Amino acid sequence: MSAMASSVEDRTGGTAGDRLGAALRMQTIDVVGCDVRVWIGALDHLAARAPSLEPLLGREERERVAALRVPEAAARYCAGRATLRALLGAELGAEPSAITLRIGAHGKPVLDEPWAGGGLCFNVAHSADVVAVAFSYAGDVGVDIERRRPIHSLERLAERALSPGERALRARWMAEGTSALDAFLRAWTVKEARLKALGLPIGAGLSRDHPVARALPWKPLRVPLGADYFAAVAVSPARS
Amino acid sequence: MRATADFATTLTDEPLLDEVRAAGCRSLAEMFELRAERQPDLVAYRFLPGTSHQVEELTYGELDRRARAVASHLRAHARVGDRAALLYSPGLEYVVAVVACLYAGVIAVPAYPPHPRRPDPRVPGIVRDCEARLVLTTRAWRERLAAWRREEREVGALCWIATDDIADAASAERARYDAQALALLQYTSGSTTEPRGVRLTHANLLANLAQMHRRLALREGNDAVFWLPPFHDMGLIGGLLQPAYMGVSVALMSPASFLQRPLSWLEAISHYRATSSGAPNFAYDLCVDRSTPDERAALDLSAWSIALNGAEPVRADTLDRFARAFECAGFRREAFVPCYGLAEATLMVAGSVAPSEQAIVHVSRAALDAGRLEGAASAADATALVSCGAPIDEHVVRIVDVESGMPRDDGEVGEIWVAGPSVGDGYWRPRGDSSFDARLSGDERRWLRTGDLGALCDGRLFVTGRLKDLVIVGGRNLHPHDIERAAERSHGALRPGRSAAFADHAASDGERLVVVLEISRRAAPTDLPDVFLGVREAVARQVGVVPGEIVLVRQGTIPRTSSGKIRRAATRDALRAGALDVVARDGDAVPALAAGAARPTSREWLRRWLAQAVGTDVVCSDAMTLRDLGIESLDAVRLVIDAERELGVRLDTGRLWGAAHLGEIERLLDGAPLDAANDGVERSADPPEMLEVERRLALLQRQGLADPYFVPHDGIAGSVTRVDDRELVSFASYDYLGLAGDARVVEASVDATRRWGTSVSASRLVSGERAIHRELEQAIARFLGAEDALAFVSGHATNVTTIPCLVGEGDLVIADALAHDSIVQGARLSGARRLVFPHNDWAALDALLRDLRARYRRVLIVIEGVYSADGDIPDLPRFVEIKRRHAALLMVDEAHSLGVLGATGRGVLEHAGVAAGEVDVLMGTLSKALASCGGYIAGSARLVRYLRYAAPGFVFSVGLAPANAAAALAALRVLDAEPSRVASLHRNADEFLALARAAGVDVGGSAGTPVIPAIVGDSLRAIRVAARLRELGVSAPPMVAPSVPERLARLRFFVTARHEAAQLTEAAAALARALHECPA
Repeated sequence: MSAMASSVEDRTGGTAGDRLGAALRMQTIDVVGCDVRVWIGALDHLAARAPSLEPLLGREERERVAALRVPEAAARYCAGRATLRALLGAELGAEPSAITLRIGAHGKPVLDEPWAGGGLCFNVAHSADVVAVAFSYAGDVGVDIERRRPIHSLERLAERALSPGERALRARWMAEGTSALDAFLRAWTVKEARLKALGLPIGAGLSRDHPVARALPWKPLRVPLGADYFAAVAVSPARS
Repeated sequence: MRATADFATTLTDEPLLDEVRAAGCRSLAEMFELRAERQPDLVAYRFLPGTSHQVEELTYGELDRRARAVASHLRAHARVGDRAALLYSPGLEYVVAVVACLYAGVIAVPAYPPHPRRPDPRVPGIVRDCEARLVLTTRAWRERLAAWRREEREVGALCWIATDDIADAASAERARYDAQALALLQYTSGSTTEPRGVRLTHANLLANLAQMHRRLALREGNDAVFWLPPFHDMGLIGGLLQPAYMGVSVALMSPASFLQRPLSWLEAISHYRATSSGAPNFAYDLCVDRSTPDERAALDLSAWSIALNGAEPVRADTLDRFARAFECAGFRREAFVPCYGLAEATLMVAGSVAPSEQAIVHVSRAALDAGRLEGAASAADATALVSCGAPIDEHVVRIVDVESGMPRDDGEVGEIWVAGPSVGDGYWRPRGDSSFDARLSGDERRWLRTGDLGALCDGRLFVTGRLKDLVIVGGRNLHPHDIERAAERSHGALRPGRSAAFADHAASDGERLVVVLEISRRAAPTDLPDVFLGVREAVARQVGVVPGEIVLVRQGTIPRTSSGKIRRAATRDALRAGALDVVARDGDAVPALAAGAARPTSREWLRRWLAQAVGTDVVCSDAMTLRDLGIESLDAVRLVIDAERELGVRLDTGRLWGAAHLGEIERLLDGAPLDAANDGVERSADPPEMLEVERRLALLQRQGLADPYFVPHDGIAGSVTRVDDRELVSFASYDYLGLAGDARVVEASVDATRRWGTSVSASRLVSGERAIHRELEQAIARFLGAEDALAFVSGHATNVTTIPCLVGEGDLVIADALAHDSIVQGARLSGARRLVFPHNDWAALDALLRDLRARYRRVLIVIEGVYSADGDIPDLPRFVEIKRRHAALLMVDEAHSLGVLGATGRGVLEHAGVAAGEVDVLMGTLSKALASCGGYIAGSARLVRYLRYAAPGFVFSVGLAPANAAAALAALRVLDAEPSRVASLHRNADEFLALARAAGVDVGGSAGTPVIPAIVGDSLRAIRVAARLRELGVSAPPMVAPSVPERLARLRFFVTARHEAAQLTEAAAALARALHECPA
C-alpha cells in the first residue's frame, strides 16, 4: 500500500472530459486542510451523448441501462456513471470500464480491490441537470447538490427533516438575509454531504443530530451552472 | 367641491382631474405620500365599530406617519419583495399595515385572523403558498392566536409583528419603487387547499384605479362607505385604495356589522351623506329583506350616486326591488353601477354608469342556451340580463369560442377574455394554470381567460354565467378542450374530437381529473398500457395535472349533441352510473368511498404522491426506483414524511432510497406501521464517537504502527526520560523551568502533605480552605501585578468554568482560531455566540468586531500568550487597543507563557510591555513552568471574588490539594528568585530553533518560544517519524489531525531550561535523520 500522498498530480480533467466529449469544470476545495477536488458536469448534455458513453460503464451498469424502460432515465443514469468512471479512470490510470466498484453499507458506491488500496475516496451527487463528482485522499468525502425549486410545506419539511444544528445554521443564514427556501436547501446539502461522507443513508436520523456527522467539516461548493443550485462538500478526515 | 355627482357631465369630454396621474405617481406608496402632502388633515379613513364604541379616525397625515414607523420596522425584518400576511380584523390598523407594506416594499398579502379554535386551513394555506416571511397583526390577535400558532407551527414560527405596538417614529426615508414591482397578492380564487394569489403590480393597481376614477367620475367630496372586508378585492381596492386615489374620505365597516344588521350600512351612507358605496348583489337583497318601510323612510340616500353592484352576477330583479324599496329614502335607480371584474384583472373590467344606457335587456332563454343573445319572442321565453357597460378605457374585452379559440361576433356567447394594464402578472404559484398569457392568433397582446361566459352587444358586456365545463381541479381552471386535444394526440389509437375531460367531485379525496377517450376498434390489448402512459404523460405536460382516471371506451360511444358536440356532463353522469361501454380503465379508479372510509391503498397513494410532488411529466412503472424517476434525495425524504403523516407508516429512508423499486415501496407502505424502530439511524449500544476512536486505532494498527499514545515514561519529567528501560532525550514535557524534580519544590510539597494531608476533602467554600491556598493566590497576583488570583484544580477546567461566568446567551466569545480546547469547551458551555478570528490576525478581529459588536451585550476576546501548536506569540498591544475600542473584555491564556516569556518570566504582558490592569482576565496553569497541577485566574479583586462564589468548577470541586498548592508556590518563589532560569530557557529555545532550521526542518511560524514544531505533512508520516525518532533516542510527541490540519501534522519539541547544548544538537540531528528516513 503506497504512502498517502498529500499532493497528487492532477492527471484528470482534460482526459476525462475528452472521454466524455463534454466539459467538466473542476475546482479544488480545502476543507480544514483536506484537499477535495470536485468536477461538475451538465447532466443534460452528457445524457444526450449517452449511447457513446455506454462503453465506459461496467457490466452491471450496462445491464441496468438496458433494463430501464424510460429512455430519459436510462440516459441520465448512463451519463452519471460514465462521468464517474471517466474521472476514476484518468485518476487511477486505468480503463474506465475495467475499474470495479462495490456497494458499501447503505448503498454508497466505493472502489473495490485492488483499486481501493490507493486511498482514493469519492462520492457522486446529482440534481436536475447537474452531476458532481468529488475525490479526496484525505478521507471519506461526501457531496450533495440541490436545485432551487418551490417546496410545498417548506417549514413543515424543515422542522421534520433538519436536525437542531442544521436548523440553527439555517436560521443564521435567514437572519443574514437568505430566503427561507434557499436557506433550507443550503442546510439540506450540508446535511446530506456529511451523511454521504460517512456512507450513511440519505436523510439518516432526519430531525435528530447525528453525533459524528454533525462534527464533520464542510464547505459550500460553487456550481458554475447558474445561481439555482446549492451544493456542499464534506470530509471525514481519517480514511475508512 | 361638489356634494353630489352630476350625471349629465359624467360622459362629457371635460377632463377629469386625475391628481395621481398628473403628479406622476408610479407606485401606490407615492400615491399615499401625495395625499399626506396635499391633504394631511383630511380624515381619510373612518372605522365604524358597529357597537357603541367611538368611531376611529385616521387622517392622511397620521396614516403616513404611522405607516412610516411600521415600514421602517418592517425593513428591519424583511427585504423588498418578501411577503407579509396581514391578519387583522377589519379596521384602521389594516389600512396602516397595507400602507406600511407599500412603503417598505414588502408585498402585502391581505388575509384575516383565523378562528383561534376552529380549524381553518385557508389562512395557513395562503401563508405557505406565498412563502410569507412576516405576519402582521395586532397585539391582541397575536396573544389570542398563541395556541393556534403552536398548532400551526409553520405559520407560528414566522416573524409575527404587532404593528399597533410600534411607536411612531419620524422617518425621513422616501423610497421610490418600480411600477412593475409587486404591490400585493390577492388570494380570492382557488380552493381552500390550493389557494391562488394574483400578483398585482403597482402599475396594475394604478391603472385600474385611474380607470375606475374616470368611469365613476369620482371627485373630491365623493365620500364613500364600504363594508366589504379588506382581503376581498372590492373591499381592498374599492374600499381602501380608491378613496386615496381621489383624496376622499371613506367610512369602513366590518362585514360582521353588516351581516348582523344590514341596515347599518345604509345608515352609514345616510349619516355621512356618502356618494359612493358598493356591494355584491346579495347585499342589496338583504337590505330589502331585513328592513321595514319605517326604517327605510328614516334614511336619506339622496346623495348616493354611485351604487356599485359587482363581485357576483348582477340580477335585474334585485335592482328593481331595491330601487323600489328605498325610493322613499331618496335613492335613485340611476345610481346603480352594475359592474364586472375579477381579482385577476385587479378589480373592475367593465361598469355601466350612464342612465341613458339600457342597463337591462330581455333576451330569449332558448337562444341564450344556444349561445346567442337575441330578443325574446315571448314573455315565457324571456330572461333579463343586466349590462355591465363598456370595458374601462385602455382595456379590451373579447368574447372567445372556447373550442376553437377564435373570437366570436357581437351577440354571441363565449368566454370573456380581457387585455389591458390592469391584468395581473399571473398567479404567485401558477402550477400549470393557463388563465394568464392566453393568445389570440394574429394578436400580440396577453389575454386573461376569465372562465366567465358572456357576450358583447354594441360594446356593452353581458355576463351570462360561468364556463360550466371548466374543469376545476385543485383550485385551478383547466380548459377541457386543452386536455382533450393533448390526450387525443398522444397515441395513434385515439381519435381527435372523441374524448371528454371533466372533474369528478364525487371521489373521497376531492376533485379528480377524469379523461374518457374513445379507442379505435383496431387497437390491440397490448397497446393499452402505452395508451394509458401516453395520455397520462401528455395531459400532465399540457396542464400540469395527472389524470386521476383514464377511461377508454368503445369507438363512437361518448354521448354527443345532435350537432355532434361532445357532451361532457352527460359523459360524467354515464360514467358514474356505469352506463359507458368501457374497454379499459387506469388510475386510482376506485369508486367513491363512503365518508370516513379507510385510507387509500398504498399504490394509489404512491402514484398520486409521485405525480403531484415530484413532477408530472414522468411515467412510473413498478420496476423503477425512485432514482430512475429522477427523484432527488430531498424528495425521497418528503415521501417518507408525507407517508408518515398521511398513511401513518414509518419508512426507512435508507431502504427507500437505496434499493426499493416502486413495487417494493408499495409493500413497505403497506406493511410498516408507525413505530419508532426504523428511521434510518443506526442503532447501536455504543456511542458513535467511541466507534470513531476504535476506528482510528484500528487504522494505526493496520499500518503496522504501535500505539504512540500512553507510552509510560519513568522518572521525573525533565530533559531526559526513561521509556522501556531506555533513556531518551525528552522534548515532550512542559517543565519549562526544570522544576518538577527540584528539591525545594519537592520538599515544600511533602511538607504540605504532612501538615494538611493528601486532600483538603471539601470544597474551599465549605471547609476545604487552607492557608496555603491564599498564600499561593496572593503570590501569583503579586508576581503578575494583578489585584488577586484564584486557583483551580485543573487548567482545562479553569477555562471551562470561567468563561461561562463571563459571558452567556446574547454575548459573543471571539477566540483565536487556534485557541486551546479548554477555551472552545468553555465557550460552548456558556451559550454565547462563538466565533473565531484567523490565527493571530488582530486586523481580522478588528474588522469582525466592527461589523458585529453592536449585536451583542458583552464580547469576550480570548487569546493565548504562547500558542502551543505553532510556538508563536500574539501582538498583545494591538489586542489591548482593539478590546478598548470595542468595549470588549480581553482574556489571555498564559498556559505556555508564564515563566516563559518576559525577562523575568512574568509572561506575555511583560514581554509586550503591557500593564496587568489592561487585560481583564489572566489565566494560567500550574502544570508547566510551575511544576504542579492546576490552573489560576488573575485579575481584579471583584472578578476573583465573583468567581470564588460563583464558578461551578471551583465551588463544586474539592479545593486544590495541599501538595499541588505548595509545589506551585515553591516553584513560583524559585522563579521569582532565579530569573536566570528564564534566560537559560530562552537561550536553549533560540538555539534549538536555529539548529532545527539549519537541518532543513520546517518550523512553521515558531519564534522566540520554547515550543518548536517540526511540520512533516500528513498524520501517518508524523507518527512514523516520531517512532523513528524514538528509536534514535529522542522523544518528541506527534500532533496529528484533527488537532491540526491534515497537511500540517507535526512533531512538537518543548525545550526546557534544563536541556544541555549537546542534547539539543543530538536531537536536531536525529530529527533530520528521521525525516530523511521516513519520506513523505
